[in-house]
Amino acid sequence: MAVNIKSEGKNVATPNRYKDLDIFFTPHPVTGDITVKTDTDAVRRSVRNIILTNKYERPFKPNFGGSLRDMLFELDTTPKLRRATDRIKKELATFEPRIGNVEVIFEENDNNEVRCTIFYSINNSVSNQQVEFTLTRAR
Amino acid sequence: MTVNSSQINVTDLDFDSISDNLKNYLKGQDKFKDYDFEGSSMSVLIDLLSYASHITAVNTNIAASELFLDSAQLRKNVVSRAKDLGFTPSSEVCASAIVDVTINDVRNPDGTYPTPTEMTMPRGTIFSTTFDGVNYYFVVTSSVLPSQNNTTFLYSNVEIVQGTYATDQYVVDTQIKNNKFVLSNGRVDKARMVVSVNSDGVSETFALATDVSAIKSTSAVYYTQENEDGFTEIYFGDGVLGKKLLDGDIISATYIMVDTQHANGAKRFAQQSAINGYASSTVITTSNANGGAEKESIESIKFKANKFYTSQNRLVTLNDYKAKVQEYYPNADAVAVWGGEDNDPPVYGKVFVALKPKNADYLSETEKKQIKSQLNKLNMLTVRPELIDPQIVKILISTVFKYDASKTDLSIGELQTLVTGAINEFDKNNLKDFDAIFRHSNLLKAIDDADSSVLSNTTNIRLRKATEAKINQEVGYTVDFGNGFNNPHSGHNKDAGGITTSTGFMVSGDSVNTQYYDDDGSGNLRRYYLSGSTRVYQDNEAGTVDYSKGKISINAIMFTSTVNVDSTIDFTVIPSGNDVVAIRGSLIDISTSDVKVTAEVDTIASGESSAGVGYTSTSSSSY
Repeated sequence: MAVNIKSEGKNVATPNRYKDLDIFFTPHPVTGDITVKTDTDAVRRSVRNIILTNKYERPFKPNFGGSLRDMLFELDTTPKLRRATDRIKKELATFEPRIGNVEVIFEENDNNEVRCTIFYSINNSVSNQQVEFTLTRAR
Repeated sequence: MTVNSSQINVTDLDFDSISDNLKNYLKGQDKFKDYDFEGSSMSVLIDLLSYASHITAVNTNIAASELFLDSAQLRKNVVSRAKDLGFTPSSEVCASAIVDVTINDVRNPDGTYPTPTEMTMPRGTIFSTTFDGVNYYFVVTSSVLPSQNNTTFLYSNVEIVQGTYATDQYVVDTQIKNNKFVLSNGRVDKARMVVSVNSDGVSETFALATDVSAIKSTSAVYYTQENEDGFTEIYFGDGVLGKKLLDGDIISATYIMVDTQHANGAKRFAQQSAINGYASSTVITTSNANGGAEKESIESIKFKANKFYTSQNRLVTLNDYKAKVQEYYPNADAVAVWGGEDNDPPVYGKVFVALKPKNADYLSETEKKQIKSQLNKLNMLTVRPELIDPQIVKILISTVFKYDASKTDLSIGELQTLVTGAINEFDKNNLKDFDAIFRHSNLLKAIDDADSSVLSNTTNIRLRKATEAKINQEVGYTVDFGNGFNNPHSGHNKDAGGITTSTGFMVSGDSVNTQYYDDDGSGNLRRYYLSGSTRVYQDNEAGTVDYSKGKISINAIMFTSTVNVDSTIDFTVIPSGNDVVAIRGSLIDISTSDVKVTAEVDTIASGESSAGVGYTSTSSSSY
């Protein structure tokens, strides 16, 4: 994360702490290279990957994933949502050590969709982040 | 640690190891840094790459393993590798029996007798048997012409086999290259299959090709092999190695579908289907059902194929005989082979083969003749094989074990059952082959390990061997145990009968008293009968006992009957050592029906006695 720090009276920019590929493989409009996600974007993409992966989806890692997509076929009850909240928090605590202070909010709706917002802060950083998901069934 | 690309470890094949190696490799660059975080896109790519590498490695490993006979796991590949060595695994074999069938009071309605031809027993005539409470059906393998005595028709030595007849027919189409004809049933006794070919209305029976060197371009032979699905397929010559079939030829394969359960040991049969309208008959079994076996297992193919290749279809070394006998008789449980020079007494020019079938102790005479005639075709001119019955030495076990009652919830009866099971398991695992050794201390360990509450055991053994009494013939006998007898000093235990006991028998000249054998501890076998509990000796020198060699010789005597229903006399002796070895054609076997197990609470361990007062131990010589 590029952070401006004060050092001996000069402003110094540290190199990016986090660097990741864009999983959508979007080419850079000028160079044509795969674009790079850095810092807050990289962490956000990681959170998104964890939450949207179902358990047993990744080979040899059956316990990986927040299984949010599985919720599309669950009953919309308070205990279910509470369990999903706990699960997402646990998964992020386990698989994303770069963030903390995670909060999960499910919004009520009547459109046969799951709308979820995850708030978190990146460790050793002041930035508060949030990711929003809206999942609807494909057909 | 930063790792250069040249240092990446490429020998690990597990998913986790590959993944770790890739991550180590990526530490050497700073273009992407998030490979360590499970949720990152880099991690997704690393997982995919690891997964693909792992699957490729597994596939390569499986493919390489399946290429070799030793490591192949799939039956089709084992069979295919064995085919390279010229070895054809045996198919299922149906149980067979020999019976004599008599039909009485056969008369036509007009009072005349039918001719033997009219009364021919056709192939496929059904007989039934009930064995262990289950009905099985047997069929006649070839039509039998009876001998006639007025109204009585006798069918002698009829071979009946367990299973059902089936016929598959195929039409030859030479447009199909390398045509093979797959039988429609999976469980086929290949040895009893009859293949005939009808070409332009002329039917000819084809024989199974065995020796390629004897096959000409006109030889009516067929070849057989097991296909990938485990089914038998047949194919024919190409005009060079065997007669080539023509377009439109009709192939008929008649075979027996083998039942899934083999009725080996069945001895009472009844006729089911009628012969010329007559279904009431008397069936006398001359040879019990035997020989039924499953198709060769993967382990057996692996074991035999290379031996078969080494023997090259000829019999020279002992292992050649061993491999061939197992090929000819797949139902063999154990085979022992030794040269005549090693026999006692030596018989030069012979090879002795002892074979124990899986479901019986001995081969029938018919089976012995069949195997011998097959071996005769391959052995050297100066050597003749001799099939003999295995000599079975039974080990009688008596064990007393101490246990700590506070360490188990099992009852005394349950503990005894557990120990009996451990002894039976020991027998099954250690004493199934010829050349086996009964190691006494190993059995003691197995008993101690039967349950954690078992503290110690005292286990004593006796040896028992049966000898067949030739009823009403005055002949001598030798009972060779192959293991020395206990004889610490001359005259040992003379008054109580030495170390030899026997089952009862009657001898010529005394039709009243059942007689027995014992010994005087000085090398003499004695014959006596019991008057109350007193031994009345009839002959103090009825034979000799060689304690060091473990051999009992009985002088010529005429037995008129025996207490054992199978005309045998059992000799039981105390061996000199606790380990028992099987020599030459001997099999040693724990007599599971004679195992005596006694449990005793250990009074010291349970706190009942202190300072050893009141503690009892078992004598090492008691039985």
